[in-house]
Amino acid sequence: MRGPIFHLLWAMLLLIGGTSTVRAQEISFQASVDRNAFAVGGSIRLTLTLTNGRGSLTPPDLGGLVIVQGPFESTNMQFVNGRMSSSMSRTYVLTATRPGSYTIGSAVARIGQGEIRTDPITVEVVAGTSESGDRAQQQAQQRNADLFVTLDLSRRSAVVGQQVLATYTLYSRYPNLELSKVDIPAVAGAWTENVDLGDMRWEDRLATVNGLQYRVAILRKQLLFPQKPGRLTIGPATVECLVNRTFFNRGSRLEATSGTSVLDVAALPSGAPADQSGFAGRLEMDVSVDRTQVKANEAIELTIKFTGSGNLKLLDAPDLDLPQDFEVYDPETTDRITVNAAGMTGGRTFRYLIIPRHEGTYELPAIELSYFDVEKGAYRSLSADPITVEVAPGDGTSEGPSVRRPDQRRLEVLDSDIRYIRTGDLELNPHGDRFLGSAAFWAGIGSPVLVLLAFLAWRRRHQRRSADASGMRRRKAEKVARQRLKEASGALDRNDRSAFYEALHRAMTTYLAGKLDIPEARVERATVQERLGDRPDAEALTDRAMTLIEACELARFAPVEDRPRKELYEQALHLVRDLEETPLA
Amino acid sequence: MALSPAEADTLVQRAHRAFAIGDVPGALALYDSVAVQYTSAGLEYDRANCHFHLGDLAKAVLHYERALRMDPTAEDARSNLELTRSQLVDRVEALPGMDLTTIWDRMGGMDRWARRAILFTWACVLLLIVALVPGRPRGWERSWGAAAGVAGMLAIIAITLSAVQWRRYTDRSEAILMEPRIQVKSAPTEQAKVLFVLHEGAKLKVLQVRNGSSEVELPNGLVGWVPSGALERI
Repeated sequence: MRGPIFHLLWAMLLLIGGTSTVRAQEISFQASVDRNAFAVGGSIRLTLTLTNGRGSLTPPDLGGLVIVQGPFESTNMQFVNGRMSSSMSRTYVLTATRPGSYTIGSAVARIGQGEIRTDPITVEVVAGTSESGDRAQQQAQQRNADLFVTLDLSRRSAVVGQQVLATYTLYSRYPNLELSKVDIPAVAGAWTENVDLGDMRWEDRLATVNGLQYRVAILRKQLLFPQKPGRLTIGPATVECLVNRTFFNRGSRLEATSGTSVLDVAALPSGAPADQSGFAGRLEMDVSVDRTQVKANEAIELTIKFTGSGNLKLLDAPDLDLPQDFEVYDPETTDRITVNAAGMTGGRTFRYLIIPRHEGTYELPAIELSYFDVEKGAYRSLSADPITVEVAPGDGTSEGPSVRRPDQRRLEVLDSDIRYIRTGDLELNPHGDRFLGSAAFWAGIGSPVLVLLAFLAWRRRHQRRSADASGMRRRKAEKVARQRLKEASGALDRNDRSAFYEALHRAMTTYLAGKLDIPEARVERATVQERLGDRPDAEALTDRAMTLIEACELARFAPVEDRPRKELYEQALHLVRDLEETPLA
Repeated sequence: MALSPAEADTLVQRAHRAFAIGDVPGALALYDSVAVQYTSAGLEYDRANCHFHLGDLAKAVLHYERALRMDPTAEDARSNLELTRSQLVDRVEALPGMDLTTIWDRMGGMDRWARRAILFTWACVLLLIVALVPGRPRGWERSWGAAAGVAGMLAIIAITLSAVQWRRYTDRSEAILMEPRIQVKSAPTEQAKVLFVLHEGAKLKVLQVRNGSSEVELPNGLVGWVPSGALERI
């Protein structure tokens, strides 16, 4: 008698003890069908499965399908590693009388206060006549394939350069599957970067597609960077595999092909800045130098670091627009780029070695770069501040200053063009109006000739007149001289000493002044000799005249008489006579 | 219709502005309207530049040559003419000695030499006057007279060169071929043999004109007959 009661108690204890464990397990409620399509007259099985839970089940709205059999209930309990899991399932066999599309609504499980609903399932029922049976079978086969491949794009449209993730997934209901070939075609017009997934393996989860449960494996994740605008066709991927192979069975070869997807690629919007890099995504820039004070010919390391997401591998080193005195070597590129399902992220670093060749304070110009920010949908410019570098004179030990830039080039004429028009005054003249032969020309060339002729005429008259004047004076000089000599002669007779010398002195000076056409004050040896010119006896005559004058002057102011007065008088008479006999110029 | 010099200058300034903003046809029309009545080496040069930019090389050559005829010293016109010639279809190598440009041409055109002649004549006369002023010491006359003589020589040289340039200027035997392509024949008749084919922009010397045809000589010495209408005298 103890047996049944004992067993019941044991079972209850077990249940009570187990509840705490069961609570900890995940509760799920799912509806599934064994196939999605069938012909009129056929049937499908709808199974509602409640795992790890106890509650009341409300059957779903069958949407026109008719229950042929069921519900059959089954309960399942198992212990794995001391954990208990339980499941309860309820199965209906359904059929339809007319072809069409039927939707099985949600079934509800009430567990305690909460409730769980299943996803609706759509079932296709095709006309079930015998002649179209094969086609229906085929269609059902295709739609319900136990093996298929999907292609998902993270987005349907993108701009050039924007990253798009393409995921190829294999769905299978075969318990035993060996992949023999996976063919994923290259995408023309896009830069492709594969995400490293490691070895291909089945996912932990089961996926339910349209009520059927599948094992899932991700074949490949690809990052696509479209390179040109337009419609980009991606796929199809083809998978060949061998299923149901066992030790006794060779299995069967199956092939599954994904559909193709079209990605609409838009061109980057217009208005791109001049320094557009072609990069689309998100980018930050950091520019630094290892030092700002160096000696000439010492190297500086200039680092440009880009971080962000997008196709960093296509980012080129920016051109440095350094002052002429700097030598730049090709940059060293270091990548720290991660490619995963979230896209290509990380950083790319360009390290330039620059060497100033001469001392001075230089400003390294700001480095600028712009790219297309896909989040904002606009161009964004990155700019680093200019860096000032102070270069001290080199100490001469390192390398030695280069006398000449090694990359100095000859001045290159890029193109030739005609010289620009003459602007300003073109010095217009009426047609035929030339200067040579014009009235102005003849006046210009004739006037100096006329001026010369006029001058010559004036000079001639002047010369004639001055010749007349001196001739008269000379003639007059003799007269005056003779008159004075006569006075002197009278004084000599009267023995009037002072009157004699005065008359004789005046006679000689006025005579020489008049005769030689010079002022009386300039009657002196040099002038007289010059005026007498190149006559052979000029010196003697001068000597005689000046001796006479000097003797008079001496006798006038001092009581000295070295010669008799009579002799002086005679000398004066002879001198006048001699001078009168010789013509003067 | 008659343009006053001031109006002409205004038109020229407008043409410069039109050219500066790239309106070459507008600038050319303005230059041409001034050229109806006035001329100058600068105007011809600017017109030539306009034609060059409009791609009319024959006219560009013609006007550069005219600018050089008026002012043989114009380096800009010479350099542009050279560049324009290098773009012509025909490349004609001049015979040695056929290039009439001499160092004297580069020193000035007839008007410049005429002005120099006047300058030297005045210098000569003034120096003579200084030399012959009366009542100056000995030797004065001689040294100033020598300077006057030098000035007189220079004046004579300048007048001679001016006359040479005058002859060059009045000699209008040179012409530019304006037709895009023309057959040069051996005689002034339709049936004459075709000697060679010339393209626009070629510079020719007209030897004689008969029956509406001109006998022309190329700088390389080739001689033939072309219709006179195809030529434009420089």
